[in-house]
Amino acid sequence: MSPSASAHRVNIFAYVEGNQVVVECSFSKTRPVRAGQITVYAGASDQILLTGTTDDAGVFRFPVPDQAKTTGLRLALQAGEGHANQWTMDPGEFASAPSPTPQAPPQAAEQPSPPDPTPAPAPPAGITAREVEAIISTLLDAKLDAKLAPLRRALLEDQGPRLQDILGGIGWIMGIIGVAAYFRRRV
Amino acid sequence: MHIAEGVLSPMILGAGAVLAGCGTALGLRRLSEEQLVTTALLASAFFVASLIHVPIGPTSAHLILTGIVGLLLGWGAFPAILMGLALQAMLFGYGGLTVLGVNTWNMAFPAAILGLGLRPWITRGGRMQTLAAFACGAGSVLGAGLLTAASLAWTEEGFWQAAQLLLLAHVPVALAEGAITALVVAFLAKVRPETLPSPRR
Repeated sequence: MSPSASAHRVNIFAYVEGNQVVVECSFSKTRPVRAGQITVYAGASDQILLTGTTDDAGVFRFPVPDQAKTTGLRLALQAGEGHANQWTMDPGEFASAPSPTPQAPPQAAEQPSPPDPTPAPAPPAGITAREVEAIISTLLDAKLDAKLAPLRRALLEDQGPRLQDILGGIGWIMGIIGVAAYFRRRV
Repeated sequence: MHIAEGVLSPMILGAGAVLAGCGTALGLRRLSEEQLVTTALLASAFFVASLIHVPIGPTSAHLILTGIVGLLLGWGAFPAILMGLALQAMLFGYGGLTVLGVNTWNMAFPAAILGLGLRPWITRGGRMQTLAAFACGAGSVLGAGLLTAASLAWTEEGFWQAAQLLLLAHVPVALAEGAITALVVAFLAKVRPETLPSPRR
């Protein structure tokens, strides 16, 4: 239980890792949200697919739901005291996730837990070019997901307000008061 | 204390907007021309204050400075705080434009009421002045916490849970705010007594 007197807003960020969706939640300046309520919706609709709470590191993991590939996902976070935020994931983000449907290469579906599955055993002689392509693209996607996740997180990381914003805001206030003074004078 | 977008129901958002609008209109009517510069300074201070984190015990908290705003401006606290909150929402992403009314009301109303109510003691000077300034600073924070909890009462979080968390978290902030308000008032009384509200207003 951490009272968040200093929190201004809460950040939510999610990405696909293997066949799991990883949701990371933090207050500004990388303080994790503990026991934040997460609701997963199917795309823009109000249909709730599942709910969960974040752990001590502000992370919540769940397997990719079947609907995700067609509708995408909308993740809503309730962190208490009026702090809330949302994150949407396009259907395209799940294209790489190994699906339970039969057309996916069996090698990837059998190894759900490690983030980058070790290369499958040498393909039997009768394998077609199409199957090789499918396997390679699955492996590449998994590797790229793992490599890109920190990058995407860094892009999203909350730097807090910049000096330009602060000075700009003060400038706005002075300007508004200046206009107010002008109109008062004229009356 | 900034409630985010998408938490409150449209009814509460509407009520907050109407109340904040009334307060702002009243504040604008009461503001005299000489007070405009004070308003600008206080709005700027409020705008920046939430960025300054003060370490208190295990956590850190930021000041909101609404107590001083209410003490010096009375109903004028509404336009000043509205301006600060609007810019915080647009430039920093704190709160949001749809919740602007609710957030303004929650922060400005306790400050304005306490500031106006405690004025007689502020102008008297001496120990009562310090005490009244402290009460105004601390009370504005706690009042804002209570109103924020009340706005959250109709969400799934419920009033009691939100109120407990918000009040607990803000007790140290309230003490710090009270001390700073008392210091500022003592300083103004010595250096610029004319900025303090006069008894007749």
